[in-house]
Amino acid sequence: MSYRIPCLLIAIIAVTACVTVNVYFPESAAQAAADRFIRDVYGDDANNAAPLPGEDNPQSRHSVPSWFTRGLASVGDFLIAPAAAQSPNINIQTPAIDSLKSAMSARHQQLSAGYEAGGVGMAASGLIVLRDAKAIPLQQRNQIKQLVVQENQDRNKLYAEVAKANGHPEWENEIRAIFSGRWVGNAPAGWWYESAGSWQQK
Amino acid sequence: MLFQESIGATENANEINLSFTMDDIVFGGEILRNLRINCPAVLYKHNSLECPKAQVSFESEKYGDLQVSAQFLWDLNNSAYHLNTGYFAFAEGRVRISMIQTISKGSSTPHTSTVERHDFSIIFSDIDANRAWQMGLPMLPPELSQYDVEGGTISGAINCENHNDCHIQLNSEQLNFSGINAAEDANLEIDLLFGGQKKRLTGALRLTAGALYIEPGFSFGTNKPGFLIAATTQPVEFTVDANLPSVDQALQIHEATISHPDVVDMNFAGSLSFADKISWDSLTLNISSPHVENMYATYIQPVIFGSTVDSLELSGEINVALRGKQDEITDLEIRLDDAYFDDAYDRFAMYKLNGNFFLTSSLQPQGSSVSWEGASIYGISLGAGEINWDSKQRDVWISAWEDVTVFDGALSINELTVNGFGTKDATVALSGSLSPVSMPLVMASFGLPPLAGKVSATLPQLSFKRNKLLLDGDIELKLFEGVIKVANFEIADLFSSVPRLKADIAAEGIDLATLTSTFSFGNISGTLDGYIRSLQLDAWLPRSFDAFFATREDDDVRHRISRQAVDNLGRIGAQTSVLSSGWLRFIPSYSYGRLGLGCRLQRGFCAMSGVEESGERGFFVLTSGGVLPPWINIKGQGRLISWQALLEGIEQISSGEVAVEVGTEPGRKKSAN
Repeated sequence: MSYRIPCLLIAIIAVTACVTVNVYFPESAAQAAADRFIRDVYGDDANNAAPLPGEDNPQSRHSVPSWFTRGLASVGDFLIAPAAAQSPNINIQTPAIDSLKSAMSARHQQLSAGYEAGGVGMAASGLIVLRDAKAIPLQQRNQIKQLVVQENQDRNKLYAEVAKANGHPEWENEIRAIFSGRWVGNAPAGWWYESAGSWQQK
Repeated sequence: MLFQESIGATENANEINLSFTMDDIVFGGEILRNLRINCPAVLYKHNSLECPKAQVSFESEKYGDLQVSAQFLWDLNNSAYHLNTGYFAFAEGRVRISMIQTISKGSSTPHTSTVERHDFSIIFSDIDANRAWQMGLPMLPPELSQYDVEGGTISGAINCENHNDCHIQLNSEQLNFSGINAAEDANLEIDLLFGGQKKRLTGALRLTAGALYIEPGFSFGTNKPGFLIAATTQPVEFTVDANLPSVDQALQIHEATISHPDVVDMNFAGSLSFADKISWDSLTLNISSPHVENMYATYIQPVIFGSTVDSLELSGEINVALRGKQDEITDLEIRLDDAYFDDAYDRFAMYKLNGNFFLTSSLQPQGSSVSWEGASIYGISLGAGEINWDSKQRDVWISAWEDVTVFDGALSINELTVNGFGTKDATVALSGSLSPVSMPLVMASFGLPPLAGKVSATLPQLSFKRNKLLLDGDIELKLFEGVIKVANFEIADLFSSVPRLKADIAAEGIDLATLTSTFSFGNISGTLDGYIRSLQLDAWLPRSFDAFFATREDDDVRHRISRQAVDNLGRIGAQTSVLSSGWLRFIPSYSYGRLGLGCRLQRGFCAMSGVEESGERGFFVLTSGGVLPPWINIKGQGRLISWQALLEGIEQISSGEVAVEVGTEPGRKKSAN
């Protein structure tokens, strides 16, 4: 009997001493990072970004940072990194991500006409698909198919790489979901995207 | 139904005059108005009813005003109906239909009977494809109604006996349609026979002009390959003789051929299943291509989109003979004649490949040999070489090889093996040594600033498997009079958009005078040791590492540094002008104590360090030394520098864009050399 009370106290202390650290996905920071990345990939197409129904003009929501603020952001990426669990920040500057961005940007120049014609659409999965083969001239169809396959390989790598670069590989699905929305959000009017299982034209 | 709607009949001896006029009826989504069937003389003879001069007419917005002459016979003995029409205008062309339908015994009227046999024949000519498509669109299944038929004319005949046994002959001119499959100005000749209990399909398709895009429907990963077939001066011909499968049955192809001039001649036979993946019980494939680049672009590249080899430039001639059983390749013969391939992303290339390669299931070894005149891997230039192979019982091994030149040196191969050939786990392993290669050639091939000297190396076991290059042991490089050891070396996803390299590197006894002699950095003498630990490169760019290089404290070599090198070093680490008094600018070189620089790279920033600390935020890159003045030192202020800024600084120095500046000397006492 004399041992029971101290044992109980130890058990209570042991239980209450457990601290749960919750790591929350920094959604708004991820959106801002996705916008920066996607605008670099889209190039001029991003300047004509059209709002989605019920959305403000994305250009006014996220102004394009100057070289100076980009530089500060870079330093900030480094300084904030150790406290990433507490402070919302998403790093998208690694050699792998830069390499993917460079490849995707070059590829976008060839894919842009496919988006405009409606042949290529933005899927809800964060990937792209050959949505309407009829919209792609016969002679270009295989070239577009190849670009779509290569683009999707790079996008899958990108989502995994962004999650990994931020120390949370388990965030890949969240990163994918954010990018999926922002590919559409930064797209010009006329491009097709998948929403609730059906295709919509922006 | 037709008879039940009859509204009038007259009788004269054994002739009956029948005339029907029906209300509007809907056929295939289209309203047919004033449908009239007129049979002026129905004859009853030999237990049959015959109407030799029937007239059928109706009006329709889509089909126009149609008038058809027909002969109709009802054979009461055999319960069979015969219908033959004359040619009638349809879709800008002409159509003629014949039909025989036999009703099962015991049936009394057509609408309560079971059709026992149904034969029909349609002959048509000069049908406008677009108009016919529009007419038939409402009756088409959804997957076909997605197509647009833009134009062209079609002639031909369809004869079907007993429901399924059909002979289809079609000729198209200037046919244009678009959908998953598509045609552009296609002149086609199709001759197909289909039927029998085993659903046998035999036939031929000839494309004599224009182009077709054919997507057969099978998938590789997320890719559904499609083939763009274009006719040039000679027709492209496909033939097939196969039994089409029922559910869960294999497709039996007795013979399929492709005759595509200047592209490929191919014949194939086999038993294939398309369940979760393509598998085979047996297959035979023979390919002959005089222009491998055309065959690759038309038939191979669309299947392998997304793979390492989906963007090749090729030329040459290739012949392939392949046999397989139960999902395995049992015999393979490849013959190459002046073949050439080059990756569009400059990752690998081989030139002037000649020879043959055998894989055999026989018990007797069969030898083969492939030679080449040149090759490259990521800019590393390799010379001519030859590999001899032996094969028996479905195993392949390398029996002999030649050493290969690498730039101006040579790769001596001690051992070269290939295991698991033809499987996903195929492994190529190599060990050997590299005789001296000139560094300027190596650096130039990677687009890097030139460095003097030569490099030689010993290579332990290097293996390549599943796109991963792995080193078992250390690579030892002899460079700049010293030794560089590379350990824990691996490159994952070697031929991908993001290759990932990992290694630990240790350098010992590097002669700085040799290192800097042709480098525009400036001359330095001394002996350098150092390391790069936990090096990670992604897409050949540093992701992270911990590096430190410094001259030896007890160096036998005299420590001297040129004015240019001092100033450039200062630009890397110090951010302030180094040569700090006016008269120093006239001295070409200086003694120094110790030189060293470290960088721990993480998240794009380099945490710098030197050979000595200087307060909390400073460090010495170079300490003063020597007995007599002038004494100089270089001090770094602040520890953190962006890797990009560091690289840009180094690039400016190497390209000679940085001018030597002279200022006032910072105060620091000398240290012993």
